[in-house]
Amino acid sequence: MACELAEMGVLEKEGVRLLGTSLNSIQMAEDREKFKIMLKSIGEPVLESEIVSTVEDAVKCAEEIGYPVIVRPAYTLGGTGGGMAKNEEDLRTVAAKGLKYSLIGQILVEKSVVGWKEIEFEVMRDSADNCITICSMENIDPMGIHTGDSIVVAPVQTLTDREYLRLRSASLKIIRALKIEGGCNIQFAVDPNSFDYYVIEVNPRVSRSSALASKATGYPIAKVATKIAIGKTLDQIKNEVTGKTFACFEPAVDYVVVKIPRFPFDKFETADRKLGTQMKATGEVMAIDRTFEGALNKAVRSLEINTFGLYQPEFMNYSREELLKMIKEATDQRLFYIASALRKGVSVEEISKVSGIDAFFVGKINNIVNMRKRLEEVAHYKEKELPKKLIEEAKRMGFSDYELAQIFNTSETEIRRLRKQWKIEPVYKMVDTCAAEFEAETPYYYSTYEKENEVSSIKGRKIAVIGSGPIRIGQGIEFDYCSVHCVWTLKEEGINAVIINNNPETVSTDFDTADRLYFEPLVLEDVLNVLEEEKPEGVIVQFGGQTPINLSGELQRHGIPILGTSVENIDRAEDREKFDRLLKKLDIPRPPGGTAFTVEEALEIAEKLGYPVLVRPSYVLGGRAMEIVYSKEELYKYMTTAVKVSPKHPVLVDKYIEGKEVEVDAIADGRDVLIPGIMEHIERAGIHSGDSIAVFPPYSLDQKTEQKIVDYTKKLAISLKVKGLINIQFVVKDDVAYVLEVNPRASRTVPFMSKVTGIPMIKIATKAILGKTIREQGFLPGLYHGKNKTAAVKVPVFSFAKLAEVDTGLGPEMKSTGEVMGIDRNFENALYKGLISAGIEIPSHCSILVTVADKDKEDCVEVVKGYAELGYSIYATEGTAKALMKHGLKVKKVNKIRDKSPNILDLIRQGDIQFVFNTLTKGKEPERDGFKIRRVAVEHGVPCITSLDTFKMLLKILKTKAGGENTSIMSLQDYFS
Amino acid sequence: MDFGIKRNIVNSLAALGCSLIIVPADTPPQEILDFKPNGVLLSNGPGDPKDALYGAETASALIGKVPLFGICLGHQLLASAFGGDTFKLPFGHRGSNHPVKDMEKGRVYITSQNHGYAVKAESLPKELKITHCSLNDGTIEGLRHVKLPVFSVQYHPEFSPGPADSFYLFNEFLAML
Repeated sequence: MACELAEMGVLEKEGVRLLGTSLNSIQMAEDREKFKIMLKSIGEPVLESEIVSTVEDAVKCAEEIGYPVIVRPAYTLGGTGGGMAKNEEDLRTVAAKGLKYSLIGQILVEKSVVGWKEIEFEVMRDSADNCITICSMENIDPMGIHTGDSIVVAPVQTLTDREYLRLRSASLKIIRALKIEGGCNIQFAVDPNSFDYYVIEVNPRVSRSSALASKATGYPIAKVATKIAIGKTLDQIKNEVTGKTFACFEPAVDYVVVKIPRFPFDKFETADRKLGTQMKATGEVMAIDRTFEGALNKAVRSLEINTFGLYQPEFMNYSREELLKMIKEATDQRLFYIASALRKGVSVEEISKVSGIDAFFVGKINNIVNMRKRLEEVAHYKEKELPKKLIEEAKRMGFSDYELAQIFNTSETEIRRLRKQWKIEPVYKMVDTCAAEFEAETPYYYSTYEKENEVSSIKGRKIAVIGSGPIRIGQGIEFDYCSVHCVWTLKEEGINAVIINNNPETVSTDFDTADRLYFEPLVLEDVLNVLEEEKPEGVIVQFGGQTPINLSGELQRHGIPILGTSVENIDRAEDREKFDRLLKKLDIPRPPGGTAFTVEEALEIAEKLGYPVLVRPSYVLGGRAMEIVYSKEELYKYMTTAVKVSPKHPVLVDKYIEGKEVEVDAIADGRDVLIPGIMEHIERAGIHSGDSIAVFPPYSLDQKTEQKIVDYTKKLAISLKVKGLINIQFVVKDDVAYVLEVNPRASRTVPFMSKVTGIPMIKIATKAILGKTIREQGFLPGLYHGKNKTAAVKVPVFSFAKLAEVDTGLGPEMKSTGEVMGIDRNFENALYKGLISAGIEIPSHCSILVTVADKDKEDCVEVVKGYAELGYSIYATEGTAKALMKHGLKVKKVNKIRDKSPNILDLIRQGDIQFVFNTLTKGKEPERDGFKIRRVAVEHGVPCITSLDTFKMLLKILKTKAGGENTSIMSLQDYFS
Repeated sequence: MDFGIKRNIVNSLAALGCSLIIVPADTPPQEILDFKPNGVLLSNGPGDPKDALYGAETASALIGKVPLFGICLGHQLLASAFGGDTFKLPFGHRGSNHPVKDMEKGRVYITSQNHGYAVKAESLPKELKITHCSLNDGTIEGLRHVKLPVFSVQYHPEFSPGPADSFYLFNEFLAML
């Protein structure tokens, strides 16, 4: 954006100076050619590559740069059609294939460093030319896998001092040559078999890795970079962790840090799990310990993927050959495959050879595998007493009580009791940037099983807040906003705030957010350990999403006071039966439904309710495997293939009410309820609320319904004795407001609502938890009516282009990975801004492809007509075309995928169609036409809308010519002043 | 002069093309001058500089006759040769991440350090200029004579372990010869 603004002349015209790194430096780092020239001029090795458009040129190029080479076709997703060539014969095949796949008939031929070590340095420079390296990091997964998808360890583990210093000196040379003022990230590929290395990439800015480096060392890179940008030099900036020394130093690390990416494959079952140069992770966790084994084990259980260690019994069913094959082809599960292969006796050397992962790391994983074997051996002999010494050793390696309980066939509680009896308890060590060389003022802590505890006690009241862990679909950064605001409020109230979290990307894990920060897995054992160490007066669980809520019951059983809404009432909202009883008692309607234990029962219930019905297994959360089915056949198929129904795992069958979806976030103090506002979704119920466009204030809700929603919200909040936040989702049809779901906690929309209403929701909720009533805080209960006329929308953002084989069609399962907000004086402009921010830009004149399911054919006629009237040309597939033409629309019929070329896919690929409207038939199988159309659209950057409601609303926006001159450019503060 | 010289100091000078004569710490000054060296380096070494004041005496006899470069203990001995005093630091400097500020250029270098004693600023004669200071505790890290080819640093300009940021000092030394 800085480059664009400068090129457009905006900066110059407005007299705006670009602070920090100059435009010239940015371009030198980002422009491949300039970058190469710069590196060559300072004598740093850079990867040779060339763009060619014939096989002959590719061969010529490879002869110059030397085999092996990598071939990458230009403009394909995830390197489709690319590959490695070890010799000319290989190259001729690979290059020919690549040229065929490339849209523009070009391929990049590059020297291959696949399998080399991937090393990163975080470097800083100021205007006085002072340069320092903050942190070195080593990707456990070698070159070839995006660093965001790699397991990363800090500091570097497998380089000799001399190798390390060479890379450090090279880093300083590069940052000086680029004249960067601030931070930058430099990536190297290092040959494991020689002293050769290449500079792969320089990011002339703070990056994902800088965030990790900041948390791994305690050095606030972005903060220092900001101070450099406004003219300070490193020797003038204080090191805030020690409070005494200066920012011009290199942090000392007396621990090991492991980062593991969090992938969305639990949500996207059809997705291609293979890892490569296209990043697929949505988030990451970080763990710190004194040993690599300890940090790795802690990071694994921080992921919240139902895994408490490296042992995965189901992978043991694979043969050694199968495992080695899967290890060679990297996926998110490679770590577990490696552990399984080691357990089967495959040697460290062989795994290292196949995977390219340094034998040092494989050996470390082997230590964990062997420890488990030793434990199992003892468990096998059924000795009377558990082996104290061995368990102590296992704890030092980061084994969880959960895994130990499994091995010894006992409960986690029993292991915990024994540990305490034996005094095998964790101590906490500091991250203080200087390895205890100076006294630290604001250190943070990590647990380890050693002797000396470095935690000092703090005076005064103390409350703990549990964070939300890694960013994943359904639990994103919104919950970190909530945790951070809660901590700020506690501090404001003079209470010491303790935060427990493991996400290095967040503000909650900044050393200066809470009074105490613990980098720990958010599982019962580790959270309890911290709470027993700190002994706070209570713990707040309602701001970190579902993670702390899930822990609340067990925490209470272990004697930890849960502040805010009680565990019993949380359970009343979450347990379906108890919740049904509550609604009945309060006389609040919910969609009728039932619980089926067999296929026949499900069919029976559905018959009684009438189709369509919403079905989902009762044992999964977050909308997984939830579907809307329209007929008996579909339901039968769902019941027999998608889920395994049994008396233990019943399936819930609800009437699907195709109505308006409305959502409310409210704050309650036990007596009164404050509702900052009501949101209405553009997409009707059936599309996950996180994937819908939410609008505030509602645009089509009548007063009567609004009153009903306010009443129900009050009733529910009062009878659930909510103290703090509550989120309720409704579906409105024929003047009836049905309750779909109640979440007795902060929801995804709290930050949005706080921003658009100006009501500091978390602050009020936190104070309510502390016992200050809403009235005492100066707010009136009921629905808040702001004086200012603003409209705002929250638009979801998707990452489909990066996730091959994922269906882009929306449904009851959440798929979005982020969100944006648009705000303005009126709804149309707000939505326009929201859509632009989400990257959806519809050209004013273009060709639209319409291909809809039978159930939508009649409904869509009016809308398509609207588009045609605006001058859009309409393409449609046979069935849809027929329906449209029947109503007198001019439509170009296009060939189906199976028909001869040019068919639909060709038209999208060639750029003849710039916009796709496609509604879903059932099923997610990749063979279906709809699936293919949506994938091709997303892979070619063609906007694709799958909901009639969105399509309709978009027409409305286009009609009003929103985004024109009457769009307001105002700061958020201005809307409320 | 070898007070316990670190191998990489020898290697670094050799790599720059110097022929080296390494003499024991207690070698008399005349014996050193008899080798007709282009310059003399006073090496690093262990402990309290006051236990090695004979080295300072030798150094003071060499001042003005041959360019001198002191590293670590050698730096403390050079300061002592000019009548300077040393003291025990409350916290010794150990590690490869110590920031040192070049007082003349305003630049900061990350250095490798390993010393428990330092030179007292107030004890120094006027002809010795403080060129480098520790950014952490402000103690003296480098000195240079205002006229004579004599200079010294408290840290280790040769790398391994630690950074190579200050390797340029060897070149400065060579330029004096």
